Amino acid sequence: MKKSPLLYTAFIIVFTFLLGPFLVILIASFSGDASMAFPPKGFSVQWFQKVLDVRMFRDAFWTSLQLAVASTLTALVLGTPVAYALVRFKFRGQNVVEILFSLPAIVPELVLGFGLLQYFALRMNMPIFPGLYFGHTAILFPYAVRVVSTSLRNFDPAIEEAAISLGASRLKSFLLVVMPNLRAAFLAAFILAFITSFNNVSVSLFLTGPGVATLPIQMLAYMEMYFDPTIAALSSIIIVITFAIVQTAERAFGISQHI
Amino acid sequence: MRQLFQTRTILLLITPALSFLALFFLLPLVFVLADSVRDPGGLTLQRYGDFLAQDQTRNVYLRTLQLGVIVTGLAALMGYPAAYLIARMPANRRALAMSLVILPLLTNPVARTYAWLVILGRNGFFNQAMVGLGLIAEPIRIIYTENAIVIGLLQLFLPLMVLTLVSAMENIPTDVEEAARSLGAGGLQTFLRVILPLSADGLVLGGTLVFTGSITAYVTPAILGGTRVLMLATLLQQRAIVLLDWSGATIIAVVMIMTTLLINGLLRQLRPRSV
Amino acid sequence: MSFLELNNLQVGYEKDSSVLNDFHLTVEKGELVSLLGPSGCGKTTTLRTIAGFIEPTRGQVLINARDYTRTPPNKRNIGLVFQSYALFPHLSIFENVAFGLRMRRVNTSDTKKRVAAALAMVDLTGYENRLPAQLSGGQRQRVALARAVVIEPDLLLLDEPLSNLDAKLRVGMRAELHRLQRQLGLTAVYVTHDQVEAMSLSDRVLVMNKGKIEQEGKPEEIFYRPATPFVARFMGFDNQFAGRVKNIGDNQVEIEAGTCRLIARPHFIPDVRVGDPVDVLFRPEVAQLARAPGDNAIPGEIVFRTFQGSTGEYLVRCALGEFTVALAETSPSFTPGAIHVVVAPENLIVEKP
Repeated sequence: MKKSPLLYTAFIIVFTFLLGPFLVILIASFSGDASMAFPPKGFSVQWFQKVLDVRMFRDAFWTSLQLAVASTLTALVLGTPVAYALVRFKFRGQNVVEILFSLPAIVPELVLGFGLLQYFALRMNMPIFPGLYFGHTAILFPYAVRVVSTSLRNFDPAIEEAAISLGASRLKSFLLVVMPNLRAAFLAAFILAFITSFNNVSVSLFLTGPGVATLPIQMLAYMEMYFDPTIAALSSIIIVITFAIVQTAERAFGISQHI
Repeated sequence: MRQLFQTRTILLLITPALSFLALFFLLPLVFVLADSVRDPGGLTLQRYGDFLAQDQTRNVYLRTLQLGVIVTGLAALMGYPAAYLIARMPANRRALAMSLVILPLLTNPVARTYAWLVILGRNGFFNQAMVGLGLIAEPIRIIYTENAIVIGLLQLFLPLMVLTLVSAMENIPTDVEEAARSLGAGGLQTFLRVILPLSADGLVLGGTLVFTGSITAYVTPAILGGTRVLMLATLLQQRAIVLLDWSGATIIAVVMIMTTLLINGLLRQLRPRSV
Repeated sequence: MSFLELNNLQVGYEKDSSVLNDFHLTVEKGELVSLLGPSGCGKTTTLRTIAGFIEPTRGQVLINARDYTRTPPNKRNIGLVFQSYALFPHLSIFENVAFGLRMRRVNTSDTKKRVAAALAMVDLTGYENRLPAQLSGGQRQRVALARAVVIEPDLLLLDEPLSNLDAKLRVGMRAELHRLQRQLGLTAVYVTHDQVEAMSLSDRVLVMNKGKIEQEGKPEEIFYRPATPFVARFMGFDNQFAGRVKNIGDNQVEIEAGTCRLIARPHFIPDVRVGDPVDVLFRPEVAQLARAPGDNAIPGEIVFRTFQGSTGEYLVRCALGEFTVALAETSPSFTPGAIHVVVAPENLIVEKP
């Protein structure tokens, strides 16, 4: 069917609006001086150099990386059995369990961070990293459960039963037969959860403290103190890496279907 | 029908995750909820009354809802044409389009929002271009206005709307559209009478996601609204961390939860039964 | 004592037709028994209960005199063949067949030998390194069969194994299955909704309906002498008319229907008296057409004739209703017009309406 030029115009506006800012910041980060003008005055890579030199970014990067890996793995390891139970069994309270594990995606993350701060960090003196880890893991459950259960639903249960009838226990059949065939889904869930944790501000905001901050929180803090293209350079690096990951993941297993 | 050892297996499967969730997710929320109505003398709803009575909190709440509605409306308006074209693309081009659309969702929020500072700032790209073109005499203030927040939130949440609309429209066969066309419906008529009703479920779902996302987002209003234009999230942060007003922050937190849950519940009712 | 016994089995609480109640089934060693019925009749539930995937609320599953009722499915040594083949998509054909042996910790050289033998048996030697996706439907089903029999199961269960294959392949696979089962002396339970399949493969057929066994017997018995109206219809007694009992004699019933008088000599005469209304049924293939009136002839008129390959089907309109008559293509063809439908007394069955 013929599509009107109006439609295409709207389409281009949407894409410019969504992606244009990324282009702007990429260009601005090569600024020659300390002003944040666009188009930039002059050209240099000094701000990229500075990003690598700033100690607090390096530390925050490692904190974020460890946090994201730990909470993603925990959410997947604990969430996969839940997805399995929801898809392969019918039981009383199934609805409740399903809603419960989608709740962290609905409840405002800021509120969760606030709650964890008040009752664990302040009253029980929980150290900073565990607090972040618990909060991040909680908000990643919905991703793990949803992505894994969707692909499990599309996996013929007879294949599993075949393995069981041939002598494999349920666990063995899951590990030997289901897991290898759901690799793509696990990878998609891992990437989505990892990115979600790595980018998270709302949960971390209340839970970071002296000495331990995640990268986005550190970026916010830096912005309050300085207004130079360092953040632009750091943002550019992050944007390019994210872009590469998303492109690869979309090509490999259509990550956009899992969001 | 029961499968062998079913109950034991299910318990084994869900207990670890459920305990984790109960302890580190439900418990803190329950505490927040309980604290919001607790009083040295017993139970009270007084602080909720204060929340609505005080100008600042009430205005912030209303503004938050209002901006949420605006962002949702704009997202639907911009999302439909884009989603329609994407849904009708051949598979490889659709994959490329989708991977670009979701980029704002998956990018570090500070990096994403920072770009808008560069564009919308007093000496930013936008002002320079407008002055250069002679459309405005001197730079206008956009940063630290509601407009800036709407722009930032829209970039963040438009992808969610496009995603849900694409998956809703993928399921509408092209034949249906062509049938409408062959029966004499124009482009707009086809949209209003065929595509819109058939994708209504996606619209409601997308709308829920965009609205609840908008009213709870933190980074965008923090950077683009600052302390001048507060939303619920930034007000909560201000009360808790800057003013150390825990009980005030607690009320805001509960209002945020209740509003999102209420919207989710209401819009779930709106979704067609068949889906 | 039979090799497989289901005693007094009850599955599920709901009033669901696929749920079993007070269910009994015995299968002798080396026997192939089919469970035949429409979808939702409980045949698959029965199979899954034998396999151990469903736990009965009451009753016993005995195999070789051992109580397996509470034994988990992976400890039962039962071979299962599924409608969807259920091959492991990520494993080679060799590894698919070897899976059960690996679970049983059979050593490497024995595993190789047994897998090779199993693949040779289903004529797939040389396919060891392929993946299931690289095989045709028929080949996949043969791999599934090899995978199920290589473990030397006590019992082979087959759940509609041929229904995903096209018609031509199905006939070939049927013969192959039959040969294998006889050759290996396997005790098997076969679930199907296809009566031809059940007839051609089984030593014994159980026709199931709403969780109950309607009739049990050798294929010929079921086919020619259905015991209940349900079985009759399921076995292709498509023509039916109403009549009244005129006379009851030795193994035969005289029936008056409209202006016709017919003699029926069915295997099973229901408990009827003279004057009772009855339904009379017969198959399209057993009826003949004749220009001249005669015994057991129903007058009518040919409405039209359709060509169906090896048979010609006539639709005949009679005062008693419309009947389908299937004649071999070799028989003389009839042109539209007045005709008689003739059915031998042995081919008419009588039921209470």
